[in-house]
Amino acid sequence: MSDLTRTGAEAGTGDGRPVALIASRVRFEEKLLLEAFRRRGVAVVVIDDRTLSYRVGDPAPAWRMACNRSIAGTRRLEVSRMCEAFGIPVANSASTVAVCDNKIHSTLVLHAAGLPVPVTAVALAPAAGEEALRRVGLPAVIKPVNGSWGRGLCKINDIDAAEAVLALKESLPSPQQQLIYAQEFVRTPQRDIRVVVAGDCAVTAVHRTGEHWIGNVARGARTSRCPLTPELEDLALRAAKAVGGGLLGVDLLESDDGRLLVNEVNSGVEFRGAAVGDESTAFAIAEAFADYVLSEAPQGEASPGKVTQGKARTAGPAPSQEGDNP
Amino acid sequence: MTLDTMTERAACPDCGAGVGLAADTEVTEIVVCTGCAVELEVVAVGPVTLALAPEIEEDWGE
Repeated sequence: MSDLTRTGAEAGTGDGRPVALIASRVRFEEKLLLEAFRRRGVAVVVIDDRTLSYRVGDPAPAWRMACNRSIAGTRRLEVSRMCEAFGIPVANSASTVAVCDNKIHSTLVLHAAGLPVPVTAVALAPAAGEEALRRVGLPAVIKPVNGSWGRGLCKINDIDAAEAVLALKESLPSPQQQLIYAQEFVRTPQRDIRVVVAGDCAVTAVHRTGEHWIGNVARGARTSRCPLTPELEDLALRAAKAVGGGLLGVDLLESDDGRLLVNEVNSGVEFRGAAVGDESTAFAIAEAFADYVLSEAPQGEASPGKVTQGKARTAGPAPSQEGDNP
Repeated sequence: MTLDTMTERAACPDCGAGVGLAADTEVTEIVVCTGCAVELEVVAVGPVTLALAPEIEEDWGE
């Protein structure tokens, strides 16, 4: 274990504190972010979120700012909570993460902000699930409240399928898994639109086209460039603002009856898919994310701290740290 | 990653094959073993140590 405060002081540029890139995995996106910070002459410590622990009330670690890239939803929220408790600006905020990582919460927030969302109904237990489905009509889709990457989505074409899926939901052990989040099945041209947002800037948009009705890149959808029209930009920025703002992936659906709907907003946005056939797009996203993170970082003096973690590495021009890699 | 950018090799903990790694490899980065195709996590650098990558968990995602 290492003392992260000492680590930060050694790594410092500017006011002496590095930016903390907190991640579960260094993926394509995190590598691009590291390069973007490096090009700006900014020191970064890479923190493995699995190694973090802290005592409530301790002084803050010497981070200028934190970029929360945790891949695990549970840890993603706790990372942002921890940073905010220490007074460290973090992208994204705990509030934004909490809204985005809960589909019920995010749909309520988006609807309250006047944004167009698919017809949605919620049941608080599987026993009320058929009623929720009746409210949205069939075919419908039941989604896990906390799911991602297209996992656990069930298309309900008829009452037999509804009974089977609701019975399965009833057998799941977690009360969270027994919540029923049902939406109309939105017929689209076999694609959706991902708009990547950094603060008040819509960076880029891509189409995600797949053979399957689930259009996630994680499920094999192909990406292609999508013109970022004023309509898309306006909708994406309004959706981003509604969930609290930050570094976000806004997913939009074009229904075959002419509606443009906000399907969801992702707080742990991946953009490898945006690089397929056009790496410059992914680079542009990383640059915009780095700029946003740095724009949020204060310029004041560092505070001492005692958070410990097991793996911290420095990118950029800062001197290498000894003893940080077990 | 191309051959000319690989600067270090580490043994796959599953099959023992040598896995080539780029100079800028980071701790927690995931690489794929060229011998058995298993996903490996870089758990240390200088020297590089590899471990079997954790399985995807229920709450992973965007």
